[in-house]
Amino acid sequence: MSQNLAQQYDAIPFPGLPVARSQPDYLETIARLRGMQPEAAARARVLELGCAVGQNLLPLADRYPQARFLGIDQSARQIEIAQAAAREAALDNVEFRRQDILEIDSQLGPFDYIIAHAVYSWVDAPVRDKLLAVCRDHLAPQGIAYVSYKTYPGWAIHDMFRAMMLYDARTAATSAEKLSRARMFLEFLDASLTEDHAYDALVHRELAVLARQSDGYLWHDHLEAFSHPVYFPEFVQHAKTYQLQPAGDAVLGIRLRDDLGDEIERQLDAIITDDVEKELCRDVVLNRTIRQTLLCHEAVSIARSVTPERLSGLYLESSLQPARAEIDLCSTAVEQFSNRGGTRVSTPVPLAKAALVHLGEAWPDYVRLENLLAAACARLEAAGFPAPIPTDEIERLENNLAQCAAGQVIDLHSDRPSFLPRASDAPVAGPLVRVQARRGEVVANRRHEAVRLEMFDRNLIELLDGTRDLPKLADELAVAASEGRLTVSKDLERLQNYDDAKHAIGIALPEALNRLARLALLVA
Amino acid sequence: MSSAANPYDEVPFPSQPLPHSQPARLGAIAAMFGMQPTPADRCRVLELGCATGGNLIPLADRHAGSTFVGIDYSQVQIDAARRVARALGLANIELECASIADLGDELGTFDYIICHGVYSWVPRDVQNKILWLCRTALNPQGVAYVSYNTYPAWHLRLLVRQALGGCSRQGSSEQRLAQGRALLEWLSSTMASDQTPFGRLLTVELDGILRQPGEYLFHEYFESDNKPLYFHELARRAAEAELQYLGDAVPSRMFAANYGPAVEQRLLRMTDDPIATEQHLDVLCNRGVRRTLLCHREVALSRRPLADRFLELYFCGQITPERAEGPLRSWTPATFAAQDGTKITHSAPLVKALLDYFGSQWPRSLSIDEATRAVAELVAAEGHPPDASARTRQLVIQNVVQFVAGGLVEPTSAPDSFTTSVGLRPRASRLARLQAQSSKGVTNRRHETVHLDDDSRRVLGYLDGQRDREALLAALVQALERGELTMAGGRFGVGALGGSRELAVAIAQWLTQLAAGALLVD
Repeated sequence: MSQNLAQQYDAIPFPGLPVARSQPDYLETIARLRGMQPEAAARARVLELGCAVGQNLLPLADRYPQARFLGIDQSARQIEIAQAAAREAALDNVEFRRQDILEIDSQLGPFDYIIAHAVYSWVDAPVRDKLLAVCRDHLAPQGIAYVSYKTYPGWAIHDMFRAMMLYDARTAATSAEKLSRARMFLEFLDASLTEDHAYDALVHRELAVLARQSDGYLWHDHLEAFSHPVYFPEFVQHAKTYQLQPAGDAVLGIRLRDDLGDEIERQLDAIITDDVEKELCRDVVLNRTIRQTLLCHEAVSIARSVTPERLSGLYLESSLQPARAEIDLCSTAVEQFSNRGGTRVSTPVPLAKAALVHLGEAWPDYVRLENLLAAACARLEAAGFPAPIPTDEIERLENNLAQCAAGQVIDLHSDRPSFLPRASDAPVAGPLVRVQARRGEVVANRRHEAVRLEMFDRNLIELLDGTRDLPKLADELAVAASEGRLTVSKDLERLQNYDDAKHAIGIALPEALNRLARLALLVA
Repeated sequence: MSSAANPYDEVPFPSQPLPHSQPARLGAIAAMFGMQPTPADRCRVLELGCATGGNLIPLADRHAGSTFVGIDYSQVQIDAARRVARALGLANIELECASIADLGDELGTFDYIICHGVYSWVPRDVQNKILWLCRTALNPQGVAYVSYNTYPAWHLRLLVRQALGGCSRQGSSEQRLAQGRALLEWLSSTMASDQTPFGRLLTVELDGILRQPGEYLFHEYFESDNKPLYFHELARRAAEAELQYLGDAVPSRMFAANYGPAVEQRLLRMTDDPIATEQHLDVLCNRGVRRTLLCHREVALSRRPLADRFLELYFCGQITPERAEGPLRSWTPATFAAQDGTKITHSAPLVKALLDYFGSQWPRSLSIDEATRAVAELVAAEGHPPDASARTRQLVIQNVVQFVAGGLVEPTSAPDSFTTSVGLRPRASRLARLQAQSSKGVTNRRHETVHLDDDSRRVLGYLDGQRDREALLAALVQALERGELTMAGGRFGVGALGGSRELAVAIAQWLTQLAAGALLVD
């Protein structure tokens, strides 16, 4: 990697966030669905190439004390920030190393999971080659690599933005000046395109996205030395030269490919035979901008379809809630369920209804498939169905659950949750989360998502080290309020008196802890 | 490249006249910006990638006093071009099969170099060679025309190319083309219901691509090389080849004012560099093709059209009066429609008269003097002599400068070589008559393709300048009896058999139509 690029990242660190789709638990689950025998995330060896300031690896190290993590980045400043955070959270199973990807030698590894997020399309050709060579040479036989990259068609319009911003910034001397010229160009476009033409509408839409981006993001995605979007078939071909094959796509999860619907797929089959080229056509239809492809060794045999048996031993999670409060499990009336994201499913099948109700009630906890099947049967029997529930009904349920997983209304996991679904008497937030909350940063929860917290929740989390019960927490927060370090309000009036504050906090605290539990921020 | 592997031998490129490349247009633009171009009727012209001569042969036919050299690397295409040139008895054109990479000094030098539809489709070293030929084989006041695919539009079109790459690379060109069309149609129908901006834009692009003829589609989307570039990159490469940007083959596209005063103001605040200005305009209109005029870097150019040079040029404009609230000489507003549908409203009598006169004379080209005289007549108050003074002429020039910048009229440096009045023994050019025998598209003297129906083609074939109306009528009556005229749909009010009286009426209509199409010559 060029020295120049290291300097750019030294100057403007990449504002990293946890990348939920790159977490080993998720990669492990997909590998198992493909019929692979991946190492359990909790004991895995994980390498991240281009780890930036560690925002992706740190929460994983915090979550899996038995696993080992190595993050490599060539920006010394970013590595220093990551190392400091690891020290502060007392994480001894993660190492951050300043190293050029090109300098990686045979001493390293092997690894069960290799993560390269936002690297491939952001570096020059030798580094792209080396990135794939590292996956080939340092991935365990049943290992999975996660590689994200810019792709077309989504990136086509951004190629224009990049080319024009760089053109307008061609004489700028500093990165600050370059950014300012780039923003000027975006403003020029925004002000000048007014006609109701599809091109204008497309540019306006992407401009709105760019306008919201921080300087750091705009810089690293659009203005830095390299931008190399690739078509999916190009990427697959490149991986093949390193004896790697796609094992799936992190966004598609359980599905191996997109599905545009029966009729459209049939028409496409008649024109194109190559599976990879077909996927490019689907990318075009879906206007895909980014791909997160999972790679494994070419020698591994990959299951092309997911059979319900593969769900066995996996944990299921869903926030599905029935539309009606009272559900009649015995009837075959269609019941509708919707999850947090607003996705809906409906079913008339009693056993399926029972399973979805059970999942929703357990949420945010996960339920192991075998337990879910048993619980659904028990619920039906309790509602008056004759026992035992027929085997073919149970098999049908497994099929339905696989479909829900493919449609991403049910999430699959390889292990039980590492967070507590309900707050305990002396609640605990992980050390890393407490450090992040103290710094006022975005915190990473145990689903590996970025969570933005209100001031009150941040103050609360800082205190959750397991030594304080609810009264003690209310007491300390009330002290903070009375000393002016924390704002507590009731009916728009700020409470600065200790007793008033403590009373109000005492009422609010259970709900606040419940909220943190649902956000997967509390641990045992 | 060996002839056997030459895709242009297998699928010849549709070779057509390129109006914007004709020396009379290039010369007019060069003059506007301060150059001293060689007149189109005694110049030397080189075309790189002349295909089957569709562009160069009509120019050679029209400008007998000029000489033309056409180069193409497909022997099949050169042979076809030579056959046409021989049939026309053209002595002022040389057609050679050669690779641009092999060309050297033996060509001599030229006043105009045309390179259309080549630059984006050849490897980088040939691209460089093209620009260096424009430097070394161009006379000091010469003009080079280079067309190429450009961004931003090609960002999306490359995607379509890539998707088509998924089609089989085996099989004949016809099979590949058929499979490619099937994929484009699949994409188009799948995207049709996608109302996102991306879905709408892709649908527009796909429909545009699907309307292209097969040969075009093949070369643009299936050939191995298609390397678009940004305008500013081409300008930089031209500078490296010691050339400079002269202007666009469609001059109105150079002026930010055509994008509205707000855009013009914003651009002025951002840059005073003409290259940067036009680059930003390309982004605003999602431009996909450029036809760039280049000249030697030593030439001193004006960045604004020079009004006094307009006296040596001719202008034409297809302008239609739409609505007028009073006579031309009054100060009431009148609206006119330009060829591209743009509406303009003016109230000054002189401007209205000028627009009106341009419209009435279309497709004729007018000199400033003729326009001045006509306008003076049109606006003269009753009982007063027309005022064709120097002041009126100055006002006419000022307005024509605006019309050219706004794209309402187009400039040319050569007088028309066609007639709009039908003579006693009407004549079409030998080239048009030859083309009409085998094709629906014939080249007119504005250097455009005119699409004729079968009957008009047949009639054109008889216009050899020997037949008066009576002889024409006799010939067409015979043709009708032989069933060679279809008189489709009783279009001219004649029955299936038709009578000679109706046929005489139809002949008059045909001749008017052909004259209006700039297909009749003196």
